[in-house]
Amino acid sequence: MWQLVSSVFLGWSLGSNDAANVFGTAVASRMVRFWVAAILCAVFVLLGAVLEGQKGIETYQRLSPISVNLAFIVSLAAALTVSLMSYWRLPVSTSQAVVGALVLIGAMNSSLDTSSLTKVVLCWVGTPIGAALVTFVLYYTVGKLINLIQPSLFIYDKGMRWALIIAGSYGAYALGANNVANVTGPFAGPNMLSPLAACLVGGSAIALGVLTYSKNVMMTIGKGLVRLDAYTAFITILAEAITVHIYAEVGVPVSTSQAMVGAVLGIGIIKGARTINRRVLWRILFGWIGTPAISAGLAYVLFMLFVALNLVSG
Amino acid sequence: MAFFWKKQDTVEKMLAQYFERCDTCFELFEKAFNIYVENGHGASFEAAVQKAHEAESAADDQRREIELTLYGKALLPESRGDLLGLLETFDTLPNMAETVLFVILCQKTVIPEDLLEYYKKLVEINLQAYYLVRRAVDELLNNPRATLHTTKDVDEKESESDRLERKVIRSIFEKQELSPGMQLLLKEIVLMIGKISDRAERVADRIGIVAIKRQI
Repeated sequence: MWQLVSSVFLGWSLGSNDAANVFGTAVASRMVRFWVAAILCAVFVLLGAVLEGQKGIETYQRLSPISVNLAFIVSLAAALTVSLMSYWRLPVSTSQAVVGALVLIGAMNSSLDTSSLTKVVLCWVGTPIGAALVTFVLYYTVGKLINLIQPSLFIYDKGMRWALIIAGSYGAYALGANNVANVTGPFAGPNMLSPLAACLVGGSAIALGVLTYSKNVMMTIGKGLVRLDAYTAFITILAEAITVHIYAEVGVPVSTSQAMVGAVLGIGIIKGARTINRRVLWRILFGWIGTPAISAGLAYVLFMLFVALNLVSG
Repeated sequence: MAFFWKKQDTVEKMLAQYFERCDTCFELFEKAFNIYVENGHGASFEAAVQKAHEAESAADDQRREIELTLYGKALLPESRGDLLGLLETFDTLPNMAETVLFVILCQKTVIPEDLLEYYKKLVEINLQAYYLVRRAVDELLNNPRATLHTTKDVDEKESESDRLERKVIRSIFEKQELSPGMQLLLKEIVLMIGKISDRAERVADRIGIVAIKRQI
């Protein structure tokens, strides 16, 4: 199935970009070596995808059941959107790019399920808000525990490193479980991939992206997050992982970056930030509206091209 | 997974060695000062000062090695910064002890007989301040809950030293038989000994901040 090339490309790009959300802080501050982080991340992404990725795939099947060639258009439009926006340094979410293309194709194909779409969009809005709420709860409960134990400097240091590794691995698991649907979800269905095969292919593509091209993004994103201390970095990663994992259970692929932004915002509020950074709001809003719109536009162009080439019926 | 913590374990061991060397330096400082009190200037005092100087240099070398290891990204960034800051301030303590001995030795200062007891007491109080701050360091590295109490004790010792310094300086300038030059030299030594507890207090403040920073 040559059409899978576009989804593997999308998975690779997702892996290379989103690994930074789970291991960026630890790697950029040299708390964990890149290769240790990359291997752990790749293994747990694959595990998450295979063990818990099927619910998201089922959601995409309900949202708009499509043929292999249409799935190719969706994946290619999403992959191009992610690549172009990364190149232009614009905020981007793979989930929102895939849904944008899938909705356009579904609408053109008259197979769009609006109730599934409502569920997906509500989950997008709930991602940063949910992550901020989880951050509040975690910050105070884990903080109370640490104050109770009052570990020595070296024990605290060791504990925090382990905590960052465990939270990062869990984040990678949640990333695989939640985001594998973005990669191979459109290809799962009758006469295409089985849900398990889709999870295996998608998980492997994400893992490949983590192993081959995530270092630079980890260093760039991670350095931006290093301003957080180890404890708040641990809390944000764990909150992001829990939020994304919850949405994996619900079966809706969401943006790990937006979950991370929500978690960092939560820390900002705890630490006394009185105003919400407009740039952060712009990033979230652009993710919700701009990304699916661009991806839908590209999907439309590709769809018309395929119709002209008689590869799909108009 | 032991390789994860290799650098941290190395830093822990190196720190223990550093503080042991500082302790040795202060033991030798006390010993040299006692030799001076009992025998005055002479070969034995000079040899004792030399030993204290060697101990201070050894502690300095160890500190530099720890700093290099820390700059090599051992530990979390905030722990790294805290330890570097702590080492930098702590290092001023053995430096000061060495300086006191060198000033007495090089300027051939002779402390008048009737003031010697004051000087001995002043050294004793400042040594106590040092050992208290050492305890605070150990507590920070092993049981941070106890640090706050010990840092308060350091603060009290510093005040005790201040009070005695003022008393000794007043006594020096009341002694009309001493030349103004001699009075200034004797005052300088008093202030230098007192600086040990001043610096111990500074280290204690830093220890307090490091301990509080880890409370959430």
